[in-house]
Amino acid sequence: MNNRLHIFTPVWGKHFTSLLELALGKSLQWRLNAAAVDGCKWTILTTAQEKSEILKTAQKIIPTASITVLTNDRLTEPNAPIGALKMQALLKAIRECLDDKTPMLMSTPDFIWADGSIQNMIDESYPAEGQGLCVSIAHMRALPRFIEALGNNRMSAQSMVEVGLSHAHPAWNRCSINDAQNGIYHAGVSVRYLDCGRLITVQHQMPSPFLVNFKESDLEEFARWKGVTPPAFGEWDHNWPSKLLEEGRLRYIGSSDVAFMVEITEADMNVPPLEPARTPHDQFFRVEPSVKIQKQFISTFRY
Amino acid sequence: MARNLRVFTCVWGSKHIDTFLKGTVKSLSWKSNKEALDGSTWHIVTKTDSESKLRHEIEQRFPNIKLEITAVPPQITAPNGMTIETDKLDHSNLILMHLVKEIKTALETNSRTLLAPPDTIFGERSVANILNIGEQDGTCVAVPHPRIHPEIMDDPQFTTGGSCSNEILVKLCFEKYLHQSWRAAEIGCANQNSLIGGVAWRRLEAAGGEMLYAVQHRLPTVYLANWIPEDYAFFINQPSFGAYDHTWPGERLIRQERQRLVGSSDAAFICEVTDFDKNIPPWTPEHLKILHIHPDAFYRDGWHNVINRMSVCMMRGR
Repeated sequence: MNNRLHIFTPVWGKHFTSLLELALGKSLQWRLNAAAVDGCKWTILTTAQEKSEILKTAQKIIPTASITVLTNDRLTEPNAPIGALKMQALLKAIRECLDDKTPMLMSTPDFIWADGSIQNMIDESYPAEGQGLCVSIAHMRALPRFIEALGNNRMSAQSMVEVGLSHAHPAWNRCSINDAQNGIYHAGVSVRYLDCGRLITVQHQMPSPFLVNFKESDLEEFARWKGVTPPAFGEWDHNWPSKLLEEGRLRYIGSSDVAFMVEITEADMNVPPLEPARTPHDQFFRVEPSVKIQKQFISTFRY
Repeated sequence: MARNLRVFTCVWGSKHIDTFLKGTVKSLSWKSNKEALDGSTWHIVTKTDSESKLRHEIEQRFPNIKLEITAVPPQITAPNGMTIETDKLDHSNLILMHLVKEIKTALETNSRTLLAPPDTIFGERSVANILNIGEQDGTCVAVPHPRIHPEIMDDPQFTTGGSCSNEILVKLCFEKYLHQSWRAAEIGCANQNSLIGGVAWRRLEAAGGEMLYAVQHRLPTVYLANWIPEDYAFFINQPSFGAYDHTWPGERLIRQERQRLVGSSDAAFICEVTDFDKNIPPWTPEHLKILHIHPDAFYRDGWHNVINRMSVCMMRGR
């Protein structure tokens, strides 16, 4: 039994069920990633109707995993509070991580992890008891056709950056600092193509913590109602990183060579509106303390 | 409006001048670095006895720059009228005094300043990338820099060929010339010195003959500064040049959202030539008890020390 890792994945609906197998699932089966997740605990949130199919897929992806499928049929209701429902399931998974003293890999089905990235993030989080370190990386969005380019071979970070750029999502293409019209203000990401060839700098002002070690206080934070608003999943990358920064628990990795992930995103989703470039060019509409700090770190993607 | 570029160096004494010419000047004269400096003004503060040698060397190697040399005379007159032997002045105070003048000049001439200390080696292409990353008004680019032994400047890979790429320099630094202050900063080593040294690093698995190092540098140096008037007001009130690394980033830069820390040596790599017996952080076995629990612990808790701890920079050698 791998007591080093717990994975959390919310997945329902045909589109994301398919991504579980073709995107996340494929990358979790690459040699180094497979070794990193071997024997892990995997909590999956889905609907009752899809439970058996999801379970079958998950068992195929990580045959050694101990899989818990949580179901909630409200997920498919019109106007369902999806963020709050996901948070309910996440809270259960966090409780388990705290009890087991294991880190969690946050991994939705549209994530594709470059081979070796998961172990590198685990190593970077020094999973010593009680420190609660959490690893963030800048990641990129790519179009669904990226999946076709994956083929059957494992993909290193370097190849994944290259293929990712060939199939980049509009959200990415709108974030170049050289463009007179861009979406940086709404995306919080600015990209600079360096003159030295196959290297890009990325200023991601709201990177998500992906490999995390919880503390009891995190559970309390996530479970807290904000006025009349129930705890919601958006807390994860919107507000929680500020707590992590304040407590000195964040570790933000500066290079795709160590950890890299592509998030498959439909062409018409998450597209920041274009507007004339602002001065300074890296203005972002969000102003959380974590944003103010993370804008000061420049990552690189190498291909 | 595009800003001008100034390069700022304080150097005196034959040993430092030698390192400056063999290391700093050589690396800045590599093709891409040199091109990036074209049209800049290089402000060198030295002492009168070295002025002509430096002028000759720099003008020969950098025909497309404007050179300003400030020659500090053997004696200066303090504001109170007292005559002071400059050799007896604390060097840190002397450097600070000239840094303040440099900031004033840069502000007056709409310039930014690239700091080129005389013990510093810039990987090829690093200068252009640093200038690019720090193109925005007010931003200041910091780079974590390993300390290395002077012998690197005699290595054939350094002396021959047109240039040394960042990846070759990283390899030379970590495989052959790493200074003891950094050697003992490796997480888990028997005499790990990170608690006082402020640096902690680990080797990562890498394929294809590459080497990857994950580095946390709690007080990286700002090499490119886009000054704002507040900086002048800050430094004119400081007791020594140490404020540049130790207080300015924490008290000002990060709070003003101006630091841009380069997360990977692929974009920029800088190393600092250090004598074998210099800058060795003090160490006691007691430190290991703390480092065993927090491998990246550091005794200082300035805001920049706290924030930079959370940035894991990668150095890639080949």
